[in-house]
Amino acid sequence: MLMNHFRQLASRKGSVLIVAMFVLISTAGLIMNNATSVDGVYKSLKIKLREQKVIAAAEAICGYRESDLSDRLATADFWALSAWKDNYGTQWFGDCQVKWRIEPCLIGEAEDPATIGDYYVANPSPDPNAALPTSPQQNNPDTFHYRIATEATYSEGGIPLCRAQAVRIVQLSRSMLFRYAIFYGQTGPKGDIEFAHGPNLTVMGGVHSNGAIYLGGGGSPSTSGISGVQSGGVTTIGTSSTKMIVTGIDGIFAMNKRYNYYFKGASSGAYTGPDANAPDPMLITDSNLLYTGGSARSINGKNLTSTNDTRADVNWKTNSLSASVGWGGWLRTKQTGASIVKTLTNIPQLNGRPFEPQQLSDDPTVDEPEYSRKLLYFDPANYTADSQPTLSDDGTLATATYEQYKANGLYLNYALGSKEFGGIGRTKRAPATGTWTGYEMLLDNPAGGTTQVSPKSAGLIIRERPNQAGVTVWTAYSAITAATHAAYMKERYQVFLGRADITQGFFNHIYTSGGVAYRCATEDKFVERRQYWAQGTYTAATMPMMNVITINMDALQDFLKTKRISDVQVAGSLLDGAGVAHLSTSPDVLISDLGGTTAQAATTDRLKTHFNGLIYIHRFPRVAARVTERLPYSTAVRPQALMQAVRISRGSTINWDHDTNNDGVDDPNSLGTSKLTIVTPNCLYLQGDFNSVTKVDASGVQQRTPVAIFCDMLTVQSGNWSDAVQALPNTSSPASTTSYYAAIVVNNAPTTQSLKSDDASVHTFGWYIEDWGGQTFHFTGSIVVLNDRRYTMGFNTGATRAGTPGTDLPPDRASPAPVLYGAPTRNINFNNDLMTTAGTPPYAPFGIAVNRQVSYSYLVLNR
Amino acid sequence: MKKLYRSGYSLIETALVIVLVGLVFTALFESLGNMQKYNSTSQVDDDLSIEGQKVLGMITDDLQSSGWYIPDPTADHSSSLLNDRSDYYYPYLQEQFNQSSVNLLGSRFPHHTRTASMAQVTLVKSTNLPGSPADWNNSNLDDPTYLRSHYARSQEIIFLKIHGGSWDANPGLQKLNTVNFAGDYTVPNNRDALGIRRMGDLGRGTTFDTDPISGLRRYYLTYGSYKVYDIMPTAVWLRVPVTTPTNYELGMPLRWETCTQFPTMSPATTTLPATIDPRELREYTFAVVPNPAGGHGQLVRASKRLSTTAGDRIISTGSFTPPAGGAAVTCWMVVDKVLSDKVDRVTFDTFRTDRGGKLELNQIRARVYLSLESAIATGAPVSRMVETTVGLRSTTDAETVNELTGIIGNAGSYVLNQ
Repeated sequence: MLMNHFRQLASRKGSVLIVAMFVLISTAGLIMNNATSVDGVYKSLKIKLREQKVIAAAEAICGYRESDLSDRLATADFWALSAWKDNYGTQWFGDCQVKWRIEPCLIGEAEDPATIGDYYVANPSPDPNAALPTSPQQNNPDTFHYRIATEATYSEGGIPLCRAQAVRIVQLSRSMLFRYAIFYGQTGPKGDIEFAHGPNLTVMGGVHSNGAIYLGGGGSPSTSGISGVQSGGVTTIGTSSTKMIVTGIDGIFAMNKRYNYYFKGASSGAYTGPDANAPDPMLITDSNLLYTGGSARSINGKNLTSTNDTRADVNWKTNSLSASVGWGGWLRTKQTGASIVKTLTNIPQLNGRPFEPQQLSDDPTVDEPEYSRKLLYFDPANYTADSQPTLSDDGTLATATYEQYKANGLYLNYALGSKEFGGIGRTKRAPATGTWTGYEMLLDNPAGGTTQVSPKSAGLIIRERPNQAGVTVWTAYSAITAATHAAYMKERYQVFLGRADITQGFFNHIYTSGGVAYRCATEDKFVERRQYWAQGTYTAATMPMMNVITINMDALQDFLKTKRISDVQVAGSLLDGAGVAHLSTSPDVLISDLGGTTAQAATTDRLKTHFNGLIYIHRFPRVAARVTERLPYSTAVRPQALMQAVRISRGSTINWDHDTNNDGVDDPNSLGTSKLTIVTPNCLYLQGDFNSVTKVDASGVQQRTPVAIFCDMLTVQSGNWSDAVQALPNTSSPASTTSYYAAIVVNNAPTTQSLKSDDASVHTFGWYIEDWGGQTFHFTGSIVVLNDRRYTMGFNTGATRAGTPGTDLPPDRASPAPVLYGAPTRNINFNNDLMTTAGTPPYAPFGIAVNRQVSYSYLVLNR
Repeated sequence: MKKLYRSGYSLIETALVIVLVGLVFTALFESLGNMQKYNSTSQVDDDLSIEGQKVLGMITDDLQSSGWYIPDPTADHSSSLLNDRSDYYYPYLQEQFNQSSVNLLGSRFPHHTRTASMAQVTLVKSTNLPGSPADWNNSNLDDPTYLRSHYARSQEIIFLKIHGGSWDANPGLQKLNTVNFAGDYTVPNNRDALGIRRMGDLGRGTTFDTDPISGLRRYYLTYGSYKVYDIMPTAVWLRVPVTTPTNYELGMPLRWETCTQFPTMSPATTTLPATIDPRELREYTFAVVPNPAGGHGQLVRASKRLSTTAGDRIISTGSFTPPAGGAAVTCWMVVDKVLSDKVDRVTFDTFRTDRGGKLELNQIRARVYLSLESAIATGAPVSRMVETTVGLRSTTDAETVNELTGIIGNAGSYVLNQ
């Protein structure tokens, strides 16, 4: 029994143990299995996450660098790009370290290099003097290729665990903006093109807006009604037989944008002030705000109405517009694949002011604006002996070693044939001591050295001195003589051809025609009632006068055609670093190049030989203590207070390079001869017929000189304009029919906040200040709008405007507005010459479009 | 003795224990069984999700390297669907198999026309999937059934890829070119040592050596003791005119993969720049073919060959005539990659076929229909439809859109096999 007992005990104990052990082991096994599984999943996820991290980091930096490259190229400053030494680097993206590099590519043939010509192209050379490439290299005038490569690494404890590379081959091409009849560069509502005019307007040329396009009636919105939506002049873009490509990135609408803002998308609501919630044209349903029917707006021969515009017709969204009626394939929006053309205006670094003098010095220790101001100081004590501004870096007077002001930062480029010219370019500060090594036109070359670029031509720069200590105060216009006028101008302005100071020669030059002596430039005044009323400072009795520097084109061209550098340059006045850095490094070479005293042929080597067709004019606010025209605000603070502008007159014939043999008679020359571009960041007045005279070429064909004008705002003065008449307030002289032939780059006042900027319509690209009633305004060229106006707010009034101040008019304006102008019959045409290289003015602006992007990314390490 | 007797169990106790244990174990086993089923189904679910992501990843990798290409830009076939079927452009969409009319099956690419045995997939095991077998004949894109059915025919894609790396007769052996990032990128003015071309290096290197991989010349610049190699990407090529090159006749289009390393140039006339002979373009397709393992379709990537070798898995063959004339060539579509054995159907859409009008010009949408049965839960297959929209990185610019839509028609206007 005892044995049985023990046997039972033993048996029971063993069973429990075995079962317990089985359960325990099974449980442990399951747990371990699950743990292993979970661990495996975790590790797998972690590895996957790492992969995603590094690929995302590599792609992100690739994208960032591509944008950077695009911005740099959009400035068209190829000099800066070639001198870009830090085209590689490293940065962090999240917890990944990313190396990056950007390099130019060569493009070769797809064929076997062993059996064919082995042709290839490189990126266009920024060197304007570079010889065209010879076979097997082919010339590539305007397409750029770069490889952007990044490598992202994820590490733990300093050990790289995962690594990925991303590569993009980008192809960027430049698009000359004058190829469009109308081009608006800003994006969003600021870039909208508005057709809202009285007399009929026909556009026969391509139209591109980086915003939207509105075709909608004339008139101004007010509480009195919305009839203007349906009325107004006929807007015609293209015809059924001559179709035009019309691009509105954000859509093309049969509406009047100003009415949309005024009524906030519903006609029952009256204007009560700026509305931050701009009405979306896609959401407007009030038929009173829509152009519902009729033939007053048409594109390519088909009427545009509210039933078939981008808002209403789904075919826009699906890119199913009918090609047979001239819309499909011709009218483009972002829905149909149209993309923004990136221009100067889209580059944040330029702050939208590409024509302002900006790049004054690249010395980080120098306060650039202040530096520039000091260096333009006029020192009368030294002027007679040495016309140069003579201040050293610290602002003290100096006579020997001094730094000169650095001209400007025009980001322009110039296409002539298949060659590129670098524009006025960005100048750099000359070294305080030592050898002037020139602006960084140093191109790395295959031999490992550098090539000094020494263009032989330059632009003409006329800049107002910002600090006019001792300048003659000009108060009595009627009493001033030509001689005193010239002296005054020399004190007030500084003129360069390249980096040669030609101030004295320029202002001393006299051109006589018809028994009348003309100067290259004078300073004039007249009453500008419209400008003052627009800015709310119109007071009939006391308003001040607009001050303009008038460039007499006949006299200026005569100056270029007849003078040599040695005739006009003050000895020893070469200014390293001043103005355009397009000239050689050595003063001796400069004199020689420009026909100086080192025996250049007097009869052939005229200034025109060294003129590149670009005139840059810049006005500067006058310091209150120094002049009677008190303008207490700088342009940086209150630019619209600058009642100083630029005027071009007597410009009917542009022929500065047509007299080939210098016998005083123009010779037959091909299209493109005497090309000219006038640039000013200020407001510009165009007086009288401009570029209206054609010149015959060798084939007997009349050719018109390619001319462009870049300015903040354009005001036209007819051939009948008289300063004397307009010197009296409240008079309006009758205009005469006048013709203007030029490609225009101008700013506008976009309708973005209701009435504040009531001046966005296309037809106001040029203002009138005379009574044009019954006269015709002929314009042929291209209209490129890049930015908001800077030097005038530009509240447009129409010829007269009545309403309730604070509701229909700005609260500080009286009603009705005074008679400010009479509208002309507008005849606006595109100049087909602009579609050709020969017919393109110098320094034509370009946009950049990314055409092609080959891109891939891949893991190169994962452990 | 008394203690020994009390240590045993009574019959009632034993029976009670047995019943209780039985009940517990029954519940446990049932629970375990259900858990096993659930686990199995979940596993299938997970497998399909992972498989779907994997397949979409592989499709994305390929399509990202694609883009629009119209070798015959002078044609205008935008007005008629039938004309569109005879048009020649990439990416091109075709139905998996058309029983009623072979002419509607991408006849511009006869070498992509598959016989029934290679095209018609019968879903043997996986019944009870969304849709019904009758959907095989449903090609109405506006029918919601067409969108969700696993049984309807696939919309397959014929596309080209950018030549982005090395070349090989077998595309599966091609490799992307890696960039040498060795060195310290934080050191200023260190470009030469890092082998980085300067932005002002605007010409070709004056000396060359031989690429150890391709055997081609590699030109380089010399900066001191450093070699900085030219960058000559394979993705873009220089198209020079046949006659004396002049500036404005140069073209620099994308270079597509070709069946031969150095393709034949095909000048239409002596005044036009040469183009790559379209017969030599290496076309790719994603196709659903019958699965050797049975049950599902098999999603494969096939590429065009101008000749075959033993062991090639050919899914279609035909005679291709180039658009500008010339001799027809026989082409074969050979499988070079199996993406999945669990795919029933695949559809691709471009902006032209997208009925919702949501796709942009440079986008392609891919939908992959997968299904799988668990070993335990038979008769209740798990199905998944995974979708992605791929951006073509070789973008077509806005100016080309005019040409593109003018030639191949407008968005949403094109419906397969209606």
